[in-house]
Amino acid sequence: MQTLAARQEPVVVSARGATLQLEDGSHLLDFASGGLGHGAAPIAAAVARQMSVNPLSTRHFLSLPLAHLTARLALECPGSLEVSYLCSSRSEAVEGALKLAHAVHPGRTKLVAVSGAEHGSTLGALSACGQPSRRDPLPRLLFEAELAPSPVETADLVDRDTAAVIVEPWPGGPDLPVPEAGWLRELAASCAACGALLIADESRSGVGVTGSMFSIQREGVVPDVLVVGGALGGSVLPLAGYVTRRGLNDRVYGRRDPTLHASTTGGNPAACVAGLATLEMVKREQLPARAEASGLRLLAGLRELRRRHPDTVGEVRGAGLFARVRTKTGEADAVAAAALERGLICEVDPGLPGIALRPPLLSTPEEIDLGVEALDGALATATPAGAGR
Amino acid sequence: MNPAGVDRTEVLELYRRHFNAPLAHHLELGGCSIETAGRGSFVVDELGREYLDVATAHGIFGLGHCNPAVQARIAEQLARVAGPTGGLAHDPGVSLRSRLARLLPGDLGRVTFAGSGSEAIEIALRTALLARPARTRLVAARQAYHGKTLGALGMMGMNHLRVPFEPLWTDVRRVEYGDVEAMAAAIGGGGAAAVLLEPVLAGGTIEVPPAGYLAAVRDLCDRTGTLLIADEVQTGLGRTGWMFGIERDEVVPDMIVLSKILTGGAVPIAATVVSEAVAGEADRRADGVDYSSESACWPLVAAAADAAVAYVEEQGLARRAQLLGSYLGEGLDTLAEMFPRFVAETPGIGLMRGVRVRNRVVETALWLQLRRRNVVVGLSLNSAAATPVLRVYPPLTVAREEIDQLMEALYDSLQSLERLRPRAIYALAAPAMALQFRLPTRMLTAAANRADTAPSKAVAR
Repeated sequence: MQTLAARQEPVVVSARGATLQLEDGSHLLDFASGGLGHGAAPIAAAVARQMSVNPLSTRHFLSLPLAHLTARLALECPGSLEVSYLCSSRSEAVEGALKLAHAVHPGRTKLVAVSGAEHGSTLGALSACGQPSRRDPLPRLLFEAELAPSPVETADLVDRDTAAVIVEPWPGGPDLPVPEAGWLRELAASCAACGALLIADESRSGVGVTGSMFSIQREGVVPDVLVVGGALGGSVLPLAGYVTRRGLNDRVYGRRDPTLHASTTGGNPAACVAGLATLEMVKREQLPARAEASGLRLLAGLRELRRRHPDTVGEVRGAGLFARVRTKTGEADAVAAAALERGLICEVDPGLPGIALRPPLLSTPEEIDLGVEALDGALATATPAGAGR
Repeated sequence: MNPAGVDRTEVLELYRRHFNAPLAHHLELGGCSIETAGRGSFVVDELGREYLDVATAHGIFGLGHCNPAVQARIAEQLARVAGPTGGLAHDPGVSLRSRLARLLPGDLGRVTFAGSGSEAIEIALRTALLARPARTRLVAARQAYHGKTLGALGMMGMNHLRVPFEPLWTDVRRVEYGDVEAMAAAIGGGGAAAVLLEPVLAGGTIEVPPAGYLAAVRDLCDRTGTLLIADEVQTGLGRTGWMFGIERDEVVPDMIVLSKILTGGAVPIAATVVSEAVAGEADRRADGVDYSSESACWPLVAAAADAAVAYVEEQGLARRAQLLGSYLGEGLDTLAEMFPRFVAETPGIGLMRGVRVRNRVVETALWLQLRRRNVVVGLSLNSAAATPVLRVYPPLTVAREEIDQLMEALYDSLQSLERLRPRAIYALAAPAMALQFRLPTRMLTAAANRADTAPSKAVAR
């Protein structure tokens, strides 16, 4: 992820919603981090209370917040996804999912992933990375993933040698094509036919971002493993994990050493309390519906930008508060740098022609409009000479 | 009777259905209650009972539970900004980075944060692959513990943790810890990409290497261009009586990995610190790719960790660990002499100590006895170790009287076991072990018989 290059080491001193306040008094809109957004009072209060008595677990006692959050996730997740392993980063959650797949299918060597997608920066997660720029510098990885040219084509690669397929149901990278509806059902059917695990990485698209609790629900598909994260920690503490079916979990972890997969601070009480408070808030304030509405506002704004800058802006796609803009001018780096000058942080893949916009769930309509306005200004200046307008 | 208003059996049921069923068995058989609070060296359960915590979750409560200095910084930061800042800097992060770089020897200055020790090991391995792309070999100690993500796991020699998830790395040499010749052979004349090593071995065991071992390994690495990665997740920030375990041998590694005490007992964080020289080599190969994690250094997490490191420095906790560690070590040695039937040795340094028991039955029985006396020691949870080591990692802030309390509980527990025939000890511990590890009864009976013929019989009775 590259979010900033231009300014001289700006320092964030406080934040609210999508807005970061810098030391010099100026403000920036953060449309790169996603998540819930800053300053949600109920979450801060719950975390403060837990922090003051029992922030991390001894692991030699039972932990109430862990029990409650894993039970709550079982309720929120579709189908019979009901066993969770929690941790503190997306990478580690993906590692856990891949471990499960390895151990469920010890004889199978093949992992299918999507070209252009990425799932984290640990070595297992990097082995499933579909971005040559991230893979190539590493002389070797733990295993070779087979990359489908696009999400739709993943189903074609699944066979009886496939341990797992890892996909983002709403493709996360700035430069990824958005597949047509129905592709996930087809993929799930292929996986089921071959016994391959379908791992849905919803660490960016989950917890209300795309307008439903998990974006996979938009397609009515239940994966074997769901990777969660993103907004789950309430933008207060990092919190991620994977959720799977009990039968699948028990095949690997059901009758073995209780610490076969674990992490000392994963699923710690303070983060679990943040997770519970966040899920409560998502329900109470109907944040998926709000994300849907704000997302339409964002998408309308971006489509207007395409009309205003036809030589610069290509395809515009979005689901809730997760949108992507393709640039026609080659690299999007210059647009991102110009946007930052105008107070907007957005995400680009270095050297590739796409911008991802992930405003937090608590973004206000004003913040969405300001973000679109900043991007408008950036596109005006980033249009290369000769492209004409 | 239950001020917290929670029912333990309900919580166990939730663990079984939604989290980790074998762990639920283990905690149930241990009679483990629900943690509700912590203060200093003590954990409080739902019934208000206080337990002396010398397990400290492998050392994360190294500054005691709810350390006031860490708590104050958390409260202050929570009121400003806690979560992600779009890749921009924030004061706690800037302060923590510079504090670590200042504290570490040599040009160890490039700090990358991670969410766990495992993930920080992944960063170190990734950096080693980038900085030594032409070399395939990685070297580690056979009994080491480095973490449970796939890259870290692939380094480990503990088969019961690694084998179910293979294939992983193809060219890992695992050597006997403390053996310089074995290390030289593993590195080979052409050199390896990296050696990953704990300054004190701590994977379900504790082993302090002979003085000069780390220096000898450093020398082997220097001669072959092999990178030395010090896994100081458990040893770093004062635990061993040194600020960092490598200081005992005056060694400067190419990378150092920190966590546990860095968490301040409050937040999930780890750090990989790479020498500027090696970081530069890795950068050239990475060619502008930024592998850093999005969630690793949020302001709230960084503030707690910064307060923790400052506390270790300001309170001179490394020195304190050295002084109190001697006191603790002498006490444990005395117990080992008194109860040779159960205790084989008491390895350790500073406030990183262990009680190596004769077999797994004794481990579980002693752990249960201590638990009844409201003392929590670290169970090795290493189903592969024949002579497991119970871990004694008190907070570095522990009071001398609390060490006395631990000694009393250990003495009483061992006395209780002493009064029992081996068969009775077996009866006490075996059901727990059989359920916890699904061990065959045959194996447990054999272990009980070995206890029966332990060399100490004459002394004990």
